Amino acid sequence: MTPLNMVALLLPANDREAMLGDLEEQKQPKWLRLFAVLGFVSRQQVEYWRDWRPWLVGGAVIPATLHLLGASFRLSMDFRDLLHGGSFGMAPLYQAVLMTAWAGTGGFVIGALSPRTGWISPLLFTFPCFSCLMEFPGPVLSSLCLLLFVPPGIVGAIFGRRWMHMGLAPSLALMCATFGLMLLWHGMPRGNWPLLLPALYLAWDALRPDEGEQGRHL
Amino acid sequence: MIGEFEYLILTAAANLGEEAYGAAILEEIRKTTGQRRSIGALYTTMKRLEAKALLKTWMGGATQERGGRAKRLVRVTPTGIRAAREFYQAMMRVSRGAAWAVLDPENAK
Repeated sequence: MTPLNMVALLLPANDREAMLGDLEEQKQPKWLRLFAVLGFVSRQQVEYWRDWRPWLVGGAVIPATLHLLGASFRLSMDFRDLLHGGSFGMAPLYQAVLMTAWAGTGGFVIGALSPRTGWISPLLFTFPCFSCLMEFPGPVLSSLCLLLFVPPGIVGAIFGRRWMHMGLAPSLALMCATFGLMLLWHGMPRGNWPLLLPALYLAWDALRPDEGEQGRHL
Repeated sequence: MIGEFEYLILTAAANLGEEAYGAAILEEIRKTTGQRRSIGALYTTMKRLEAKALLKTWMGGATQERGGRAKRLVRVTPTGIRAAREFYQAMMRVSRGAAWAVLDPENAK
């Protein structure tokens, strides 16, 4: 695969097809074609980043990841205690469901709000993850226990990118269930309340009148 | 109001009619204004125009001279025609009385 084709992979399929065809028709030298595609990719990114949504997503990823790392760690510790003869309570169950809901809704919102600038989210997500994994006390738990929220987050992001919006009924049900469980779990750290925001956003997004697709696919 | 490059694209696309697509629009702009614009700038601006519903684009058929790749065909929408007309009329109004706004350049001296 040539460098030109590799760079062109950064473009949506139709743009890639049309642009490479136009460059072929213009019979420009290979290096000029490469610069043309690079220029378009950069311009597209500048256009996408002129919107507020990628900035919101980018700004929220690090704090959300830190909270989810904490939730993942607490959940692992609670299940470890349970396995070592601790008394059974509802808290680990609440935690497991809530962590899945937080990560899933967060991922969905990231996928829906920034499908074309989504590359920044995994990049930002790795900083807190790596720093926590470096500091993690190994012998008590496997370091993978910190990352329990990653699979539901990825699944949420994939569906968010594909569907863009959630229906009214599922989003309201998800929001109410998450909110209810957060109220029920008495030991929940207060700092986790912002993790309800993605579920609230999805419900608000489903309730508001459709503003058209153009501005919402960044 | 639309910008100068946006106006050039709308006008070139309207003049080309059924044959309006990326490379043809760039060539039309080059022939009429002498300006060489990059294909990246063209596509970025076309996307902006499409987002503003001034243009409609769709994928056409592939041809051999394009390495078997499809064209992105372009059509100016009625809103695009209105926007281009507004730009043109504004330029005419703002140019009224200017020394260069005469048909024969020799008389302007």
